[in-house]
Amino acid sequence: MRRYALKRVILGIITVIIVSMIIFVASRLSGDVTYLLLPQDATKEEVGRLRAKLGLDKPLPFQYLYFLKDAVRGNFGKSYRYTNREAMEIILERLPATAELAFAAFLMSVICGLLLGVLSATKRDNFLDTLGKTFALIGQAMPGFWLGVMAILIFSVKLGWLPTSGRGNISHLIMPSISIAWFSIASILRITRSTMLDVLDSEYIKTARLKGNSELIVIWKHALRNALIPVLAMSGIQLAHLLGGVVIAETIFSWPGLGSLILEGIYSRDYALVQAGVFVISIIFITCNLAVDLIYGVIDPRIRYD
Amino acid sequence: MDSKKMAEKLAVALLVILMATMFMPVCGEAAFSRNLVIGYEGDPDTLDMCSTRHAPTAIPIAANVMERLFQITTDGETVPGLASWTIAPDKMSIDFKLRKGVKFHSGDSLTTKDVIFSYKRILEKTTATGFRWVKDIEIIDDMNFRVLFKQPDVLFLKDRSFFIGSKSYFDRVGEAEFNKKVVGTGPYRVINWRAAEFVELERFDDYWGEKPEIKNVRLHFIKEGTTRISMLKAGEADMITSVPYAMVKDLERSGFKTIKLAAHPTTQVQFQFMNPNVPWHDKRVRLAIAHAIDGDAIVKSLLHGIPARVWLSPWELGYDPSLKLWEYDPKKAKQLLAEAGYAKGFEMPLYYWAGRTTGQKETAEAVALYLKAIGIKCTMIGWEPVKMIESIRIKWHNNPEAVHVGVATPPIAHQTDPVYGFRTSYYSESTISLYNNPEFDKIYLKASQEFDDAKRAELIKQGMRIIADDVATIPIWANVSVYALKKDIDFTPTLRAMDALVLVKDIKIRP
Repeated sequence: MRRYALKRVILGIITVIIVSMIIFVASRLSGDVTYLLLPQDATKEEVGRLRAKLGLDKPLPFQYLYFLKDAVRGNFGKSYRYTNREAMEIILERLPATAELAFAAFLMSVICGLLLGVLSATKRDNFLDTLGKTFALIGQAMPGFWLGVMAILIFSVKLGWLPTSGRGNISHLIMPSISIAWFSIASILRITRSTMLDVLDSEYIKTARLKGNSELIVIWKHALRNALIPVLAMSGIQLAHLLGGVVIAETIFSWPGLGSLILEGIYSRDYALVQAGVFVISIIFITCNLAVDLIYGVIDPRIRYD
Repeated sequence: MDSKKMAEKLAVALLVILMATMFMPVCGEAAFSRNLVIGYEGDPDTLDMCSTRHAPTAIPIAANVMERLFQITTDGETVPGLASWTIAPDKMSIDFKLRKGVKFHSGDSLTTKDVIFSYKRILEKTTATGFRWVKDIEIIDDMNFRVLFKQPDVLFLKDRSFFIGSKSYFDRVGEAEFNKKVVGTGPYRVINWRAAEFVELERFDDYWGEKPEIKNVRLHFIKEGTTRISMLKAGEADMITSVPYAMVKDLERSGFKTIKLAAHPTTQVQFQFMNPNVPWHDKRVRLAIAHAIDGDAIVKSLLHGIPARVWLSPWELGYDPSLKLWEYDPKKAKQLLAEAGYAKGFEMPLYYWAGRTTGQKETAEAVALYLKAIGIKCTMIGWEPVKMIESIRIKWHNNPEAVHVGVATPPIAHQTDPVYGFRTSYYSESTISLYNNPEFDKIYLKASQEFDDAKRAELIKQGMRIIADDVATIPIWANVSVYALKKDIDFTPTLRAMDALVLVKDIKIRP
């Protein structure tokens, strides 16, 4: 188990380095940022001076080396867009908001997805199952941003139950997290349902039932644990989807998070901000994947002895 | 049995309390709203105008907190504010005298120390291109200073006079706090600023000027247009900025007031016609294109009839009512093309700025269709701003071999002064100009040194005439900022150099 874990961690670190390289080059491919920072009619001297000030007059590999040297020390440079502030400082300031939203959405999708999936599988072909299947279909077909806009229209404008936007208390969290979680709930529901159906058909479930266990124990202990591996894998993928969905929800609901910040950074070619942001997100992402990998090992002994 | 029922009741009660606490702050906000809540589309990086890197999103709000050396009225006129001025006879310097008794929100008094501090801060923290023609600033005494120029700059007073921050306050609190809780001399002071969320302002009772009516205001930073509209409809906001055109009619029908302010440059078809080998080198071809495009229909069908169709708006310096846009006349267009020897048409690239500018791509597509109708086949090329600016500077500017026609927004209309647009987009030596006419250059150079408004207006008229006679550009529509407000609120918007300001002092609540 320890070797398995170590291997995963090292792979994770390598991925972070590769990601940093890709984002470094990609953010610089789209043109010279000095043209965006200066008024369009800037003189050649003004352009030259700014490029030198930003270190953009050096060849790309050197720029990357300087970046790496500073990044190792945790210094990701100053943001251009957000007035001379440390990029990492701004990112970390916004991180809690995104974490809150993503966590709420993730929790919601795993709990609802599992619950509905198991119910749908055990009450096959009755009302609950149809409901679950319909939900899965709609959930996967409906874009999150549309759902968000509709939710605002109904619950804020028409009914006045929830605030339209902003971050504050739980009432602010409800609509954005549902609009992000919606798709994931549907995916987890579908995969839970199908693996549960497989597992419920197997011999050992029959044995478990014959032993006189209550239906509750058979389903939630014997069957679900065996059905969990694909569900877990799916949850890992959904986490990626959630992080992506956060960007849209943050924009629609004016949630002061990382996603909308990085988007703004990309628009204004704020290299430092984008690099720091993508670095943080990739670390989160890789950590989550790592956690999923390690949990596999806990749930399924066969994996850890490979 | 009883205890079970008791527990149930307790649970219900708990649930009710929980729900109540969840929704309570929302109700609280509604009570706050009479102190005015505004949904604003930008998210300023800071309200400190001496260090902002993204002035267009910061100025509209920051102008409540910090002030420039001069005030601009809602009619767009420049009047003395923090200082009055005297222009030297040779126009190479301007003497300023600060107003007495002006206080910063921190309690410090305004002196020339603050002017020098702000000047240096702008030089250090920003690209400071507004000071391109400033040689230095000299302090004469506590209340008097002199700005020395490398060359006369008529726009300094109107456009480039800078914002003043407090040196004493900066020395006391340091960089981080100064950025977060900006201190200026404006009618409103910052109570609480949260990046990407909101800023709360409160009336500054020691303000030197007229005391505004509204005491507290909270500006929410809401990027998404539909969300701003929902805020207004849900009663969370009293006023919102930048209503998407498609939603204006709907809001009006729902009983809200809208105010429109032509505050942005015009989307136009712009020619680089120096190259003798391109068909549009011939003026008749450019004129044919001008007559082939139905601008009114574009505005009506694509942009919900909202944008203005003008060379310059009537309140602008150098507005000439006799200078008209070209009529839509496809017959005449075809005839002109035939006269120029292109009866069968030709192929032409049509560049447009891809990205965030609303309606740009749609306009380019419509233009391409109108031109197809007279036989000109356009190849549409959409580029990101960075690539476009780079190409203009390197490939098309002053290049007699350039092949370029584009849908773009070179600024002339709705600036602090049309001379600004003359300089950036039409003066042949500007790095992004696509126009080259020595006669026009002469007029621009004269106008750029003419401090007398009436005389400059004459020069601007002449300059506009030359551009129009050359058909160097075909204005199609000028972007308009739309504000929407509750019925009982009055607001007079102010424009300053492309920025549609949200000055709270100009908002009134009717009883």
